[in-house]
Amino acid sequence: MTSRTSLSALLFVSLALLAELAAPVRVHASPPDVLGYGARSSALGLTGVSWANDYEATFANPAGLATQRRTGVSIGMQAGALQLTLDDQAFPIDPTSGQVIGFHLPLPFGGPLKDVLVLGTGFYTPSNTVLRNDIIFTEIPQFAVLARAQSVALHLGLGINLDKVVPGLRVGVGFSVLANTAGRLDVELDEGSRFVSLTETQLLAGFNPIIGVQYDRDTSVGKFTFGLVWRDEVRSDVGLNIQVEGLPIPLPIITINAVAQYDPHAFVFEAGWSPTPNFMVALQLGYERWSRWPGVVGKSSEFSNLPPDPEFRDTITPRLGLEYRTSARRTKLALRLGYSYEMTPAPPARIADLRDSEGAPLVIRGVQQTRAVRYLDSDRHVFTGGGGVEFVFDNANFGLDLFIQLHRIAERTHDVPAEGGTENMVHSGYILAGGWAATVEW
Amino acid sequence: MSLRRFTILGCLGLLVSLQPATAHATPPDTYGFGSRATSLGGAVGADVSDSSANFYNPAGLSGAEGVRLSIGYLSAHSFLQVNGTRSNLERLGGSNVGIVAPAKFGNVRFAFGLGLHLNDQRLARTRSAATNRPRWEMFDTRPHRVWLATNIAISPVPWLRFGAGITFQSPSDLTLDLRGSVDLLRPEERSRIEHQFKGDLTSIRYPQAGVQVRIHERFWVGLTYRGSFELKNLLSAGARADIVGLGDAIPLTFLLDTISVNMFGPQTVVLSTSFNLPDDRLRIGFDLAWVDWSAHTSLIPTEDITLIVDAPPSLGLDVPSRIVGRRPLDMNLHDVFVPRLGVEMLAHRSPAHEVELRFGYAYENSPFPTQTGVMNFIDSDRHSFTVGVGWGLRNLRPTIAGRLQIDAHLSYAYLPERAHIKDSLVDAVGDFVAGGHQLTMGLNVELAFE
Amino acid sequence: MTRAQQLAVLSLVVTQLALVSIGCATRGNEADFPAPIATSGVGPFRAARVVETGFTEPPAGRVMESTWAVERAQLTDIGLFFAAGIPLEDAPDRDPALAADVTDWSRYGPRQIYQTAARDQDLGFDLEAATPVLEATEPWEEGAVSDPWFDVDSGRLYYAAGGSIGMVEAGEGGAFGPHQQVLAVPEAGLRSPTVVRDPVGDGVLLYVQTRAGVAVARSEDGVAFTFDRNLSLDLPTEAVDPDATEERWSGPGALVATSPTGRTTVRLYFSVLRSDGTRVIGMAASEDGLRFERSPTPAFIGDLPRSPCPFLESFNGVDVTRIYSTAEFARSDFAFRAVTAHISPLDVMYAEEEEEPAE
Repeated sequence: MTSRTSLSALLFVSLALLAELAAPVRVHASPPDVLGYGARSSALGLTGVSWANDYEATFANPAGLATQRRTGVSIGMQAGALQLTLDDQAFPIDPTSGQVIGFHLPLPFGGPLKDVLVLGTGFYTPSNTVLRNDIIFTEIPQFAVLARAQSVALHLGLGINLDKVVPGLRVGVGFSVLANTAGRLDVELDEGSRFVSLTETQLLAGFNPIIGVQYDRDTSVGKFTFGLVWRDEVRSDVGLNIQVEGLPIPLPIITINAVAQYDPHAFVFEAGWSPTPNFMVALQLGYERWSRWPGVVGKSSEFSNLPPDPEFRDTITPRLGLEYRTSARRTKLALRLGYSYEMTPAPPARIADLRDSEGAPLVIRGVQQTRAVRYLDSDRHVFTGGGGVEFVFDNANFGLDLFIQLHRIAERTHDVPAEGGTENMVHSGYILAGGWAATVEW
Repeated sequence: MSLRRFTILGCLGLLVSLQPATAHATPPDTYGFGSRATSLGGAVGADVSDSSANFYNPAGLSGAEGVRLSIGYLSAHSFLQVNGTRSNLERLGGSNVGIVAPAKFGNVRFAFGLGLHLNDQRLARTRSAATNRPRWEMFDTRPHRVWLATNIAISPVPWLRFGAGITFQSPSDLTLDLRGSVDLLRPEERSRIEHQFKGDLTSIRYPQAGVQVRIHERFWVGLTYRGSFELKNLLSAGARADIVGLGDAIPLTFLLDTISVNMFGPQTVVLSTSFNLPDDRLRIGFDLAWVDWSAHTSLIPTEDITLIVDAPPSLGLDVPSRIVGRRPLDMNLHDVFVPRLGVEMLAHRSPAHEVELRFGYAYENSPFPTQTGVMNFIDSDRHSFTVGVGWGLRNLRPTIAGRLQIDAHLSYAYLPERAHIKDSLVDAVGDFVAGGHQLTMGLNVELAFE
Repeated sequence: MTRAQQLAVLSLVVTQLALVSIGCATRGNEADFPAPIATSGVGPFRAARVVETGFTEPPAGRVMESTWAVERAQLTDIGLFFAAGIPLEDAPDRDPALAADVTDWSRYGPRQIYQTAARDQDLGFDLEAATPVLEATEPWEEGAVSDPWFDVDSGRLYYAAGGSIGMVEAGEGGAFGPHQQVLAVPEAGLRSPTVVRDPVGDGVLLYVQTRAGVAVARSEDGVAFTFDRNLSLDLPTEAVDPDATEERWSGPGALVATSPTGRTTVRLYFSVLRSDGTRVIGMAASEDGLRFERSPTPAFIGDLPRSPCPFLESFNGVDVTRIYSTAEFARSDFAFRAVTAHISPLDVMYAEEEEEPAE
């Protein structure tokens, strides 16, 4: 690499970092599991379990890191606009944007550990927010899955290449780190009717493991790669206790409990096939255990009633990614297409049974108490596309990847009308998203 | 590569550092980052090139010869007292991770670095300031947060290094709504309440930047800048409930708004120098930091509370007509200059081993004035004395092509007793004296690949 | 380097990695908010709890049975001194002309001063163990002695009788005598003596209740006092509640305290009658004992408290002030006031609440 091209690469990274810092403070981003994690995965139908090998692998499958032989740093941005309608009226929901910084680093051990261990980290942060959550009463219409907390996502991964033991085999382990919020607010009135408060908030780390395996096999019809990953349930809990003393009205201890962010347990299997070095197809099947979702909000005091059970169900999601690669001299090009069918875990909005503080049906004078649950969600068809360009030099590569996505949110008729309405609610919509990532490898 | 291009890159680095909305994290500010740098009193900004450069001077990252991976643990114990009674400060234990990934393009050296300090107990804690509970402002809550920094650095010529990066912090914003019924007679058992809320932990990014210049073969000079930041917490709570249990339901409205600054990080400029004897047998470092504490905004929150109960007089509820909230007060902090001195001596060298002894001293004079009014933020001058030892193992091939460095340090800080005599004889807290000691120890293991 | 050494080194690295990766930043033991500090004596004070006193009956903070008519109680290092009258068996009907909060002393035996030792197990006192230590014998005492104030340093017991202030000294065997009249201002109706050493001089200061409020007298020897001045104990303007202005200050009780910084002040506690009929205990402090700065907040509100007598002690390394006063708990029977204790700082506990057994 000449010093001129080196400087160009450095200049680009510096400009990208500058763009990071100068990002507009207009907030709100979707979590990566809605739009994908990384520009390549997002263009390939959110696949990656069988092929991701840079910071994207820390989420997709940390075993993929083990194929890396170069150190790399990536910086990227993504943004999305949501156009949702409810009963033919536009449903306002904030646009999203966020940034990623990631790196992968082969550990240069020698001897038996030579080319075995590769570290990777991906740090996604929504623009100007770390954790955003809107926990609202269940009877208010809300897109509970799409508008899940916008949250920082920190993924750490270690890929272990077992090629010396079983040719083609790699394993990986990683953690998804998310913050839980705990706090207290003690309010007291003193003898002079002066307000005294003690507030405390704490962010606690939750470490949720991701374990994956990859296996390569060269055959006469091309190269096959299989990936399997298990991701632990990731949740961000909010727990805030409010105690008010000294008021003439005695108040109970108020407990603000909620699940601000939730990603279910997931088992994902993916097979990749490259009949030639220029072409790759990846087919993924993912199982997500949404039935364990407890709902966003808990009870508000020890003996207060619980909101209705959300009654989510497990989902199975098929995903497909196609990549075509070509190269001319020192430049590599890639074109990518993908599709994903994101099955909804949510039942239709409905009238549901209220629960007492123990979770049993709330019956008052022999009548089961009910409450509308207006969680809006439906199946999503995700069409993705993108491309990448990579400049190869003697001792460094410089790459830029772009993606674009169109999510079609299927129309769904619910079992309950809007507040004050007579016709059952109907919703539908689109998401348009795009982003880029720049990578320098050496 | 021409000098003009170096200048362009340097300016870019500086531009990065001048971005607004800056942030600052504090465990390394208070207890140091990495055992070697801490045992040298933090006087390393001129020539640091290991992973602690992520904190002390990001320019130093480009001085690394190969990949460096560092992991360590730090434990800080406070024996601070107020009026002879030990303050209930938690032991602070935390792990730190440092990564330096350098590259060389032609004659230009480039490096990416990451530094992370993660406390045992939590990612972050914020606490409001209660005027009747004097607290050690620098040690009670400030160090209880994660510190994460990413940096890039370049060294266009061997005698010059630039570096810049960003750090992340998070203030919070919470709006809470409550509804339901409150039972006057048995509030705990019979009240039925529901809640909704909107919460936002917003991120702010903080730049740091630095430069290192080799003036002479044995003499380095460094300059480091860290931006200022302010973490604000907003809490807005509203309860609209019915009071039941005594005849007809009585409507109750309870509104609470608090805006509190939980932490302020001052902008800091550090001028560093270091001098080395031949063969690195002795290294002396001296740093002088200017810390802009005078820009500190009030830690006393703005608090408003409203209670409206439309209760008939026959119930005899004594509802105050007005509840007095709080308003911020000027902190009156002053800027400080912090000198740091570090001495490193080579005690033993062989082809396989290298042992270094280190000594450090830092004097951090307190930016807080004597607390003569209604505020009660305790602080005292801090004299830190550190000793450390480094053991380098070189003969590790074939597993490790490079060096394994094990560093340990022990730091003793003395905070002289300070008397806070109140202007008012009937101050709610009254006079107090505060001082004490701190003991910090740490261990770091670093793999420095060639 | 041998393979074993390399493995040892790698183990060290992996152990460190494990430390870093797992279990970090999750909640463990943690310290509570810093404890409140209160060295100025302004309070706030809390009523002693049942678990600290052993008494469950109202008023809050009660420390002794109250079948007698108790007036003022002062805790000292040698026990509790209090003035009381024992109900007569054939008591006449209550004088209907008297205000509801005034004791009808015609229904009680002559007021005497009693002493009782503190109980070992808690902050309470046994009324049945109380012994009379002083009764009226002199004509100027007009048949009743009250408002005891025992000065531990000098061994002198000051008291109020017949509108004057008297004093007796502890003699052989603990008996008090002879009765001396140390301050008499006939038109002032002196009550509630409280004696402290002069913080800036060699003598002693005597604070008393007069018909006009609270006054101070001085003495070189603690025997002969001369009236000095009425005290100004006005609230700061911004602390005045227009709906409950202060009408009268009474029943002073004082102590001299040295702060942790070495500053010595006189702390004066007194009962405040407000225009809305409520009573609180007010507090003021002075460096010379003559000019006082008034605390804008009451020390405590309690149940119509009167006659505060402060007691300062070091408890677990913390300077704790306990105020003994009388509080109303009923107005329909003979005895309607009880001795109570209030404690500052708030977080100082003399006994812990027992946790309820788990179900």
